[in-house]
Amino acid sequence: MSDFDVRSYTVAMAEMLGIHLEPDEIDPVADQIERVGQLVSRLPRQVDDALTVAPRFRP
Amino acid sequence: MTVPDGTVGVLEIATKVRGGQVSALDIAQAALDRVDSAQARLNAFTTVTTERALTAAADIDRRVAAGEPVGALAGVPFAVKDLFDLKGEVTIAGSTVLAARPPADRDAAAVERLTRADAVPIGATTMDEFAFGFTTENTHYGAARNPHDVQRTPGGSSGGSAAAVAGGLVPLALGTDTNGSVRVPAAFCGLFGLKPTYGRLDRRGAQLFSDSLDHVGAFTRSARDLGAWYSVADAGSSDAQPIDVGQLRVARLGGWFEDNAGEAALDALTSVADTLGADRTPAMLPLAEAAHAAASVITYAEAGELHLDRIRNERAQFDPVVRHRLVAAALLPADWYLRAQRLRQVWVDQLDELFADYDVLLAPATPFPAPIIGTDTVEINGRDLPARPAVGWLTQPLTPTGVPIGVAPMLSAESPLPMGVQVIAKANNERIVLAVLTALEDLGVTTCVVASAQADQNRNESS
Repeated sequence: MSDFDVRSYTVAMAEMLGIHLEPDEIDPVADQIERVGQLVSRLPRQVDDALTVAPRFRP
Repeated sequence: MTVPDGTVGVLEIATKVRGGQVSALDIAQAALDRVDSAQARLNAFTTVTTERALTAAADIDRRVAAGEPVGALAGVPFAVKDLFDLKGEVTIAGSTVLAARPPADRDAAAVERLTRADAVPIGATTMDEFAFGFTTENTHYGAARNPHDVQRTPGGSSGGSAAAVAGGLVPLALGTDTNGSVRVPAAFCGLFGLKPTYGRLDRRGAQLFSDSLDHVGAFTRSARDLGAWYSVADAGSSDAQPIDVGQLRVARLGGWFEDNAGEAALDALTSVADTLGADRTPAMLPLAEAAHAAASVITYAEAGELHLDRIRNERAQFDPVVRHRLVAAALLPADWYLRAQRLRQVWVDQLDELFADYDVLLAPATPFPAPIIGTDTVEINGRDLPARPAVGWLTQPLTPTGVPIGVAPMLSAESPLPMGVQVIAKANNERIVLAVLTALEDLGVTTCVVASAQADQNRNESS
């Protein structure tokens, strides 16, 4: 997440999607995105390297 | 003709109604009375379908009296999580946003399966808004409560359904499981639960949460009742060959699944593992922590996309607990979602490798027993865990694989609060899961009791 200004991203991305955030919404939403980003950091890089095809799923 | 009380299960009711030993109308009225009298204590229901239930039950009695055929679940009262369409009712999914929608013009597919078998819908149950939670704490409609101790959560997001079955209001209820929303409430309420293989059960008429993870499931108080539901719910299922449970190769999952489990969870797991003759050495899934992360990211991204229009225009009506999560969900970079989905396939392959050596895998369903409603942190193995998300840490990694998972309910002499053990089989092997649950029930290893108001009162007075 260090290469990523979450608050700026939140404001810009919301605007682009037509979500007009109130000032008091920005920080809680950015916090949530930050939390999900911390989870993404647990996804091992080698998986991306090993599987470059489009996502597929079979149970 | 004595009307069975709330402790009687699916198969016994159906047998007695079909045999004319008891009236379906009396059964339905008794269930409606129980729902009414327990609502203030459990808050399990958001809609009660009194007229429909009584009409359907009277028609069953008429056909029985006339010697006409009736279905396999004749007269069995059931409830549905309030995200399954019930014809003539508004499906609200725990929200107020959806309350303005018109009533459903037909039943959801999972409901139709039951009503075709002459089960009787009693109503719809309390849930987390849009299924986004593990505790059924709902700002709009109040928290559902655990019949074993009404100060505690029944789990979520199918918490109202689980409370309805555990409290003896109905013997069968439908739920959905995206990250554990059947398995967690089954464990916290001491019920048998089943999440069949992803894609086996038709989700038409169900309000989705995360498309690639959502499963239809159910709760009962006995393994055979669960099997009776599944045989009706999945017309493609086969029980032609009996399963010899003693011949199954069984392992308990180690690593993530033990490191994040408390003492009560591990005790329950050990009891089941020893009974089934599981390998002494735990089976390892090194990607479990990553799979937990992937399931979370996928859930967020898919939920955000699903609700995007409402997030733009109606989010002021959302439950405050859910609102910021859903807005954030809509904003996630596509890169994150794709990385999670790629991990998912590698994870499925890793689990498949284990199934080359084992028929059944076991893991605790939750790290700890049901917490007090409103609890923020729970200490496990010397660490303070965030209570609400941690509830799903042991179910969530397994959902992206889509495999069938049942829950064996466990009660110990040391604690009045139930725990659950996940019984996991390879895709499309529901009959193995059901056979194991049935064997555990027959051996007396699993325990499932109706939690009465009196027992709950006694417990709270003595604590």
